[in-house]
Amino acid sequence: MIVLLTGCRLKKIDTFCAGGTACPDRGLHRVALMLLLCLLAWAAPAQARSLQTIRASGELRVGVNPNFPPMSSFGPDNRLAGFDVDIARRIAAALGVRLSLVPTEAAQRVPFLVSGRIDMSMGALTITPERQALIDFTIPLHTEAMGVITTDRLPVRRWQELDRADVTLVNMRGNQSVAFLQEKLPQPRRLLVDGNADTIRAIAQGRADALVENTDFFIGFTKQYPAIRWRVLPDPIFASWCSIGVAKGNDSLRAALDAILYRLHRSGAVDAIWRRHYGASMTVPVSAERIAPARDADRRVVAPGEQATGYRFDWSDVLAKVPYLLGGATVSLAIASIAFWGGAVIGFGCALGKLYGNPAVARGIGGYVSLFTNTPALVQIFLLYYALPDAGVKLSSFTAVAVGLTLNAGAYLTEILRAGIASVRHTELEAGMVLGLSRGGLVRHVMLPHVIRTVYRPLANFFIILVLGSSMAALFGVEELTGRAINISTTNLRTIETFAVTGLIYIALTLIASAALAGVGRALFATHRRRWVR
Amino acid sequence: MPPDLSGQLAALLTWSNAEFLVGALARTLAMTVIGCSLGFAAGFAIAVLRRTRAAWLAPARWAALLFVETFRRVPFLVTLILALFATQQIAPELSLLGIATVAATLAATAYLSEIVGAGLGAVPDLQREGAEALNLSAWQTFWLVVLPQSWRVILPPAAAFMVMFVKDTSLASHLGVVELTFSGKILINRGFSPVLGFGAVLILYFLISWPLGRLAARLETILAPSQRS
Repeated sequence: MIVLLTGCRLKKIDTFCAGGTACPDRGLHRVALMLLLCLLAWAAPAQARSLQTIRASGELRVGVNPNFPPMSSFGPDNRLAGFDVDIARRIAAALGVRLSLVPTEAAQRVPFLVSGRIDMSMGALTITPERQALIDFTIPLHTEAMGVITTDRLPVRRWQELDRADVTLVNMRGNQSVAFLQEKLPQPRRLLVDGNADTIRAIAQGRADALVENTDFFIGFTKQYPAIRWRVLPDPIFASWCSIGVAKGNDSLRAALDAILYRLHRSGAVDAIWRRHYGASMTVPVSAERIAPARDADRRVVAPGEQATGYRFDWSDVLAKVPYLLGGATVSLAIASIAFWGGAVIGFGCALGKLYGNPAVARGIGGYVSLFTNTPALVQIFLLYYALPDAGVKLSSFTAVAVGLTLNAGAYLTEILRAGIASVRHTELEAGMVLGLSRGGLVRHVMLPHVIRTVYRPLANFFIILVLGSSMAALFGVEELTGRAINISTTNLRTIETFAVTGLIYIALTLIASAALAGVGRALFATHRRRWVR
Repeated sequence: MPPDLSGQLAALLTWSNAEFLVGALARTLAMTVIGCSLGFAAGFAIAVLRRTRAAWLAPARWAALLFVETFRRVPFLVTLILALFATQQIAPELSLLGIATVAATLAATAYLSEIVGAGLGAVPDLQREGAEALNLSAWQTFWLVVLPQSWRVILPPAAAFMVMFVKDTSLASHLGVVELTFSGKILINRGFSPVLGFGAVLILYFLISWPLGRLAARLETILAPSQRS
């Protein structure tokens, strides 16, 4: 709300940078605000498919993680395979329907169930109270024994010894261990990444020292780094249970799954499939009393029919975390500023080189510009972040993003500034030379004032683009605005609310930045105009 | 997976990997082309709507302004995430590729409507007043006077936007759409060196973007000469 009203007060200033858009007056803004609120408050109820509907459709839609070997991952034939896939196949066969695998990232498991996109979710879904409020769980499918994977670099023997400020723990967003670690091991720094493989890679490349997670799941990735001396601390910290998730209130499906899982456990099929993929039995077996509640699942009385699982908005959690998000916004601004000023220096140098340098220099600069402007900044930063450590250069996630965006901005700014410099008239430069200005003096007193005036507006727009572009830092674990929003939404599972608020913060941020830049622009150039026109 | 790069390169250059990468490339292009085409149509409509003066259209103009300013000031990554979770409520059957295309369309609409708007605004008012003096209707003025003069101004930046947008779709990898960037991630999770996995992806992006960029630049020299003095 504040955002839109601010936008209104700044309307005239804003037109300077927003491409001359008209802005309606204050009363009309309120109508627009109402429209926005209506949009946000509206949600159609989604449907979870009951057992009967699934049987009638002949297809069971199962969410599995696409990057989680040996649970489920794309094999050499680029098809999904693993423990979860084999279990899902058994379940579909027992239900007498086709199996349809839906790639579902860790953070998408609960939302996809709630929406009915998938009928059941796998992917090592740990039973937690937060999730139980939103979805239902079957009896456990497997356990996860929380342990520590580290290397010989870190001389610790028990997990409690990890509670030191000079230790960096890597973890995966959306995993329940994130909250556990904050409580039990508050001291270490943390690095949050998005994929299972990324955690082990972070330790191998020296960005983190240890991973506190289910060792069964992650130990497989260590094979990709045979040069590292990997260690698993012996005592498991605790065990928890992973189940298959179904939509809340979908009791008919849950009862059927309970009965199938009970039989798969009792016949030893789960253990056999586990050993096939992990090479050993579970560290902590699923005990008989854990599966006992499902013994009579077949005879459980379930009301037939569809169950609506509408989505109700809950803004309380994200609103309480607005200060945390605003802290992230300052990090976003910092990244954008670094990239902007670094890129401006590179761009100015390259633009001069391209216009006045010798042909070889100009060609080199041309190559740099076309390489960086024709490929995504995201992939450039991926390369800096993941490939440079193999060459012995280890950048932190913040540095990698800052360097990558700076190089990217440098390429684009070369083009913008080149146009500006090319517009400096030769007569002006000649006049400067006649007055006996040195080369540096020509650049400082003749060229720069002219260039800055011509390119000020495109530069201001480019800064706004950088503020928005800095959001990709989130994908490398930098806790800026988007990164913090992902952190919040993977914990409170209120993604729409969290990102609606985040979007409003971005709108406010860019409106304020546009207004400030426009103000500076007018202050700088108004005096010039008066002096020159009159 | 062989530890040396040349061995890995041989392992990468298989028929099934080529098929996989070409499929990913096709999805990258599909998001761009569909997103930008729908976005151009919708953006054109919004730009025309915002230039109307009729009082009864005022609410539509405010809605258009709100839409454009929202999607131009929210990062595409946030738009993608919001689209993913909002479509879970509205259309849970839509594929991830479909969702990413919807997000691409929203963003492209906002940006392209600005480009079209600037093009329509570049036609001097004198032209419009002249048409009015000749008793042309509003529709005739638009169709016979404004549009023929403005499309030369609109097309080059619109083409440049589309070329730029190819690269922005890489963010859809965060949703799990198996487009080019995500296919690079899958390759390195299978054990390929990041230099090879992301290097291959980088080259493929360059191979699409560079020729398209040249084409857009040519378009500008062909169409725009009359604009320069």
